[in-house]
Amino acid sequence: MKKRAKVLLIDDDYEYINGFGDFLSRMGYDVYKTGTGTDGIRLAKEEQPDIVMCDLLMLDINGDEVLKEIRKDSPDSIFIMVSAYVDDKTKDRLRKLGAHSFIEKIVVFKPTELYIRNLIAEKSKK
Amino acid sequence: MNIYAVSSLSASIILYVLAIIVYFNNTNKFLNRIYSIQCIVIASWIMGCFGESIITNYNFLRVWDKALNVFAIFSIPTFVHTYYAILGEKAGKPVKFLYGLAIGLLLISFSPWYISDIQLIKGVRYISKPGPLYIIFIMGVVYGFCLCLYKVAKAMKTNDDRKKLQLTYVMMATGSMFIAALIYLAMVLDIAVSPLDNTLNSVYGILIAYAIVKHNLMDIKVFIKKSVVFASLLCLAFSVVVGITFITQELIAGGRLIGLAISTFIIVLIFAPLEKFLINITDRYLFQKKYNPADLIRTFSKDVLRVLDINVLVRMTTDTLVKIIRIETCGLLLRNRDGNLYETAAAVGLGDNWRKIHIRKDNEMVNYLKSTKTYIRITNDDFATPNNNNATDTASLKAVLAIPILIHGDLIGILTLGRKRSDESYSRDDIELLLMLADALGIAISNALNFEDIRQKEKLATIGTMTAGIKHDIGTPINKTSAAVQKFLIEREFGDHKKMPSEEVISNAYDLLARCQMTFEKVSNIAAKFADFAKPKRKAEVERIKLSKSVNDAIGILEREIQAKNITVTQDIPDSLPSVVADRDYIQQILFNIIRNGAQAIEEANRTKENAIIEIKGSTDKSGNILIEISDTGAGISAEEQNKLFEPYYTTKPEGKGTGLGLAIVKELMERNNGTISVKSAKGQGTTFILQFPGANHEKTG
Repeated sequence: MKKRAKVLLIDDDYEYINGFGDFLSRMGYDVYKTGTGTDGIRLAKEEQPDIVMCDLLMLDINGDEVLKEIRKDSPDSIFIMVSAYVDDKTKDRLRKLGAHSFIEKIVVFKPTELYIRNLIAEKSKK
Repeated sequence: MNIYAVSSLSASIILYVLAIIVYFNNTNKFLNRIYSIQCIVIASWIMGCFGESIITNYNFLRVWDKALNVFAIFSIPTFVHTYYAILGEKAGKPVKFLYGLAIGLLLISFSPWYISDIQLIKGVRYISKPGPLYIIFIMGVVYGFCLCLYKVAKAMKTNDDRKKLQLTYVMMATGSMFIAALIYLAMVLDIAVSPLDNTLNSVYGILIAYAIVKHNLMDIKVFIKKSVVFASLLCLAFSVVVGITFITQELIAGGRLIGLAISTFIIVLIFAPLEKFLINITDRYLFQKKYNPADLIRTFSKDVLRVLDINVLVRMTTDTLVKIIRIETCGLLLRNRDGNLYETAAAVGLGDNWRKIHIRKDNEMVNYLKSTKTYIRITNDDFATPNNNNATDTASLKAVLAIPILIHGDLIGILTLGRKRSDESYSRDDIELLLMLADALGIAISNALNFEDIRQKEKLATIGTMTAGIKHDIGTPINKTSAAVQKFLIEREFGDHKKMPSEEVISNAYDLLARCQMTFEKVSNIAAKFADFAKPKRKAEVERIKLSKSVNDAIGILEREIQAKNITVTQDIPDSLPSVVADRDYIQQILFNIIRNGAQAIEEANRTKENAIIEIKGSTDKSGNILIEISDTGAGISAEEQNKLFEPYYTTKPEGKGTGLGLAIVKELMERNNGTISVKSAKGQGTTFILQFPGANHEKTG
């Protein structure tokens, strides 16, 4: 990897963003973490991350709001929605808003990191 | 006996009969009692006048006249009092004043200052000769009548057409009696008038009687049977025969045969058209309107068939049929659990022991209904089976018509109908209508019998729409703990632990294990909460319940959904709120449904976070009832929708979002807990559901 890939984690579960963020750092990513949607929107604008992993249900604003804002400010970011369960209708709606894919909780670190790595590799080929 | 005597005799008889009919129609009603008293007082006075027309003993008549004046005096206050009762007003000062006046007059009535003597009018009838104090009585009479006429005229300014019509008759009747009274007073004062007073009193009685028969005055329903009309017709024919025979006999010697021939000829000639004429006349003027099939269908589809409580359903069915079709008896039999008997579940007009009436499944009538799947007309001997050990009670059902209640061709019940009060038989149209109702009734009965199943299905259906929330509730804590576990494992893999003292690593591992255990318990509790909500149960079990806990439980199940919709739930249930005696499971379903409805309404109205609020308040009202009010800030419900809100299968939600049974079940569950539910809402401003439970001092269990 020539340049370190940037990953933004947005989730109000600190345990998870700390644990997974720590793992991603060890694997050579630049990791940005936040517990609120508003902060997430700001970070995305500033850092233009390659990957955004965002929780659907959060305390301040919901994932779909974050998605709308990020799509405006950073069109190149890959947006992954993380949630315990998303029904097909919601998935369709979020895809239309620009969500790339969905990861269902619980997030298992290693395969998720592998998935991210592949996405970034594909993106850089283009 | 002269013609005036006849008029007073007939007037008093009419009024006595009226008094008896009205009194026995409803002995518990004050209106009926006071009306009868008034009639008897006036009738006795007129009867006294009749006496004065036929008795000639002067000394006796003097005493007689004083006695009948007692009735005359008390006719004023009772008359006015009756009018207050007819108009539904409380007997006010004027009535009390007139009673006082009557007592006063009674005290002076035996003095010659009140009535000095008796006088003979036109040689036909004796009457009081007034003293100077008699003027008080006259003024009392005039005042009483003016008061009554004024009151009735005022009450006639109503929009209720039937009431207006009733009052028109009352007004006419009052008018005729007023004139009668004026004539009487004129005679007393020796002003030359024709003594028509008692003829007018008969008119009064006839008018009131007519208003009762035709327009249910005083809520009295009189059913005139066709047979009565025919009987009078026969009498009339007989009187023609007798009359003509007599007349011919008088005119022509030995003319009896000729007379008979003439009258027979006349009867043959006029009987058929006369019969038609009389039936027309009676149909038009005496029979109350034939029942309206639309009324029956409306009442059934709107009120009866929506009932989910089987006992109420069957009772409403029989009551409604009896009331609308106007029949003497009605029974509804349902097949028992064992399937060997059809037991009476509700009945009207079958005596006090109707619950004991049942029919065996091998009864002929049952077999007939089972195999033909259609109605049967019952004549007296059809199913007379006297040697059947009393197990067959077809006769005690007093039915002339039996209608099968079927579900998928299976005979689950029988509807039996007695004779119509008008003596008419059931027409083809009647039966078509009843068969149609029986079809719908079958479905309603089966719904009511399977209420627990329906409740369960509705619960599962709502839980089905909540899967996302459930997965969240369970996924979130596991994800948290899992992240911690994975972090520990990664640290180990990257060799971090080698740099740390081993006690610290072990201690961290123990902490992690403890957290895992806590998570297991938490997740298991969440699963249990939903499983508990979803679990079926057959019978209600009442216990003392703290509503604040039930509210918390319901919010607990909905926590994730509420949070996902960005809704704030505030709870204000004072600790001092008395507990209610109810079924915990029912209460939870009630609260769950209403809170969830509120959340969905707020979501649909797209409220901002500050305006997305569900308020739950607990309080007690003046009579000790316990109230739980649940308000949402959704789009509100229009008045028209509010009426239909608690009806089964009514829903405003898009397909897949609701079963349409939720609130109907909530209402039924509230009723089964002896409570009620009502709704207040303004379009655009939100909705408040009010649950009312009986307080401890008038609670019922069961």
